[in-house]
Amino acid sequence: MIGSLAFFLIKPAKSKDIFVYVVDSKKCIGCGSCVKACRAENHVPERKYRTWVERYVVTSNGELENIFVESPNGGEFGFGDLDVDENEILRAYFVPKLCMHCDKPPCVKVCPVNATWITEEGVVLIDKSHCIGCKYCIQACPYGARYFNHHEKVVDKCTWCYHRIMRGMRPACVTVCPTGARMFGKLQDEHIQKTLRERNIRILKPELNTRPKVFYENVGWEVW
Amino acid sequence: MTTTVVEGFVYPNHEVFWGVLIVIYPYFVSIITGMVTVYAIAEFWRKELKDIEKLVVISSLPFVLSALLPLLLDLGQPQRAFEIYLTPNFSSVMAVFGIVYLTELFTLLGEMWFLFRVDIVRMAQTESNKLLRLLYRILTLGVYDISEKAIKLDKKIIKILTGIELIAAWCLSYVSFLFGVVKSNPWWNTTILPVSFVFGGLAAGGAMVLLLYLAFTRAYGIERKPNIISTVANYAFYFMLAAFALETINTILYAYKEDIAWAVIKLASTELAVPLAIQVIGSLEALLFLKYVCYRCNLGKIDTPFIAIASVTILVVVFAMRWNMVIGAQLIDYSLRGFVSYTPPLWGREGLIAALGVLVAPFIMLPVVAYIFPPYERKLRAGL
Amino acid sequence: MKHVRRALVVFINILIILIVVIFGIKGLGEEVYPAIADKLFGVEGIYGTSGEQKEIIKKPVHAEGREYCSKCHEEIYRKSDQGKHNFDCQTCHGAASDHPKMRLKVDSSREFCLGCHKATIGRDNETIRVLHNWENHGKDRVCTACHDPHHPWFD
Repeated sequence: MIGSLAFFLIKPAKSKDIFVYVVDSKKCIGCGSCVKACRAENHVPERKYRTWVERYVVTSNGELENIFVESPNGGEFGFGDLDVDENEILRAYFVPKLCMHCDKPPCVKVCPVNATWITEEGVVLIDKSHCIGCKYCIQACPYGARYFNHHEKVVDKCTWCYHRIMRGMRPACVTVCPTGARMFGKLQDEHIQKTLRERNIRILKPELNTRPKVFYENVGWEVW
Repeated sequence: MTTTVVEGFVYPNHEVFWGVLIVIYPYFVSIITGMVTVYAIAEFWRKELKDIEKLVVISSLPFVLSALLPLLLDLGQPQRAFEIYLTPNFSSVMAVFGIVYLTELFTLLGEMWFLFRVDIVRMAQTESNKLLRLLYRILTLGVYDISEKAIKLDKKIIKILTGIELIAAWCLSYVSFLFGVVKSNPWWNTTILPVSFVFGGLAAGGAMVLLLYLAFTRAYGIERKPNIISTVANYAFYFMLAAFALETINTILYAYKEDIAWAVIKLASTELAVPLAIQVIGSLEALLFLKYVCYRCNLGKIDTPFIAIASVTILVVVFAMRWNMVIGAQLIDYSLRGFVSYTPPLWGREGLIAALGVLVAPFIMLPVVAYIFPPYERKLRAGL
Repeated sequence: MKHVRRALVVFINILIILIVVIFGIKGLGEEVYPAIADKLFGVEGIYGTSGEQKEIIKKPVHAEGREYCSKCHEEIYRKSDQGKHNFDCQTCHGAASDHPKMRLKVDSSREFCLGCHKATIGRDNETIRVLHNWENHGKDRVCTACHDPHHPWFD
């Protein structure tokens, strides 16, 4: 209705300094340190994940690709062995996932009480003292980034460690990643600009037009 | 919620978040739409339905009031529910629906007042019970005018209010937009969803009117008129036919297009075998019985068992349709690689017992409303 | 007519009460219910900029960075800085939070080091030194018996 129309016409006041997150899947070894660090930093409740790691294994024994995906406990305690014939594996890699902090967030659009919004720096936050726990935003998020916090009875999600990035630090998951698979910084930062110039950079679910700000390198078509 | 992963890969945070309570909520809302549509048909087009006007209006009120119950039980923070009016986000369907709901509530109350005004004035003067008499006197707003002129003005205002109420009731189907705008969910993100929702609701409303007509005529000792039953059953038949056709078309389109959503929807259908069977078999049975009832009523004979069975079947079928729409679509997660199963818990705020309580709540409120605003002359009470 | 006028008056009064309640609660002040700010329609933070955003910024940080650890553990920092184990200390030691009140002891079993170095499907040889014969390499001993965890390579 009129509100949705306004959503298209009124653009959020954005500074030039928006934050951007880049994931290089080639460097991810599936150790799960990021998941553990996020849980410690943000007091994430059990069995819920603000960030998690998935493993994709694409095999072929002569016919078209078979794709196998798993994420045991979100990859927090590493990944186990697989009963897969090593010769059949075409490609196998780990993909860390987290809230995309979309530029056109579907979750912000559907919150009935304005408890979630996108800040000037491009971070999507939740106001826990106003959330009524209707869980509409969880239905709207295409990436599965939101969860219902059973202790506080409100919805919660990754905040890119807002309390850290506003102090000039990096999110906890980026800090502890041992291989540098996760990168974070302002759009104008040099290391971010360098990665964004690669041509195999892509986003997840582009057809939904959410304009996520987490970019993925070296992931196959089977990741969405 | 008890969600367990059945097959494939689902995102770690995935659960069935909207359970049986949120199935009941659109169910009640669509029943309201149906009942108000029958009332509008009685008011504007089918004068022979004049007798059931009061009945339908007072029966809509308990449903409108108890549509709030599942929401309050399901919210994580129900005490903050009023925030939808304090700090609304107008690009969210839920917030706009709050306003539509209020409009419907007020219009319904206004309609009831004008419809029953003559009765209220009379009962304020003749009622024996002290408390009820006080209530009626307050409701008259101090005006005891029941002259011809006043009654004619009342009838005009009722016509206007009915028009507004009809529009508001159809706007209540905006609740289906709540699901239709979620582009992340391939089951919900279809254009046909709101349309099939409306017709399902109209059918359920018609069935509810039939059931309530049977119940009230029994309770008040009124003779049943076959032409009323025939008309309402006819309308319910066509609404049900439309709903059934739309759902079938939707499924056929999905199956033909065979995009990625269809692969997982087909998988998750194993979980939904029972509601789907109820939907298909029940629809056909209800259509058959309704046509039979119409045929018999045109001959002047009323077959109560067939009417009851047909109405109850339609209500169950529409409930199954809502179950498929709400819970069925949450069984597939957005990784589109697996699905979960859902069993509602027994106890607790979101349990089956609570859901059962919500389902019977309107029927508990109905006798109270009917006592204060009797749809027919109180032959019973006069006889006591 | 009279009754219509009265009904209309009642209805408008109810509306007015509703509007007064809504704006009254909002006007209670920013701390309780922030009033409508310059932006509307859920795009810019109506509540966030005043309430929650300030709250979130004040939250305590639990895991400082590597440079913070070097203030006391200068030598270990320099040792590990020379090679591939120059990632954040908290990756193995856990979040700093209460340290030095809390000891940050690492699990020195084989399973811990194998958590990253074990050969499992999906690990890239170029990213990390994947141990393909992890069952036999250094059998029956912990890794730290031969490898210094902060300088595990041998020059």
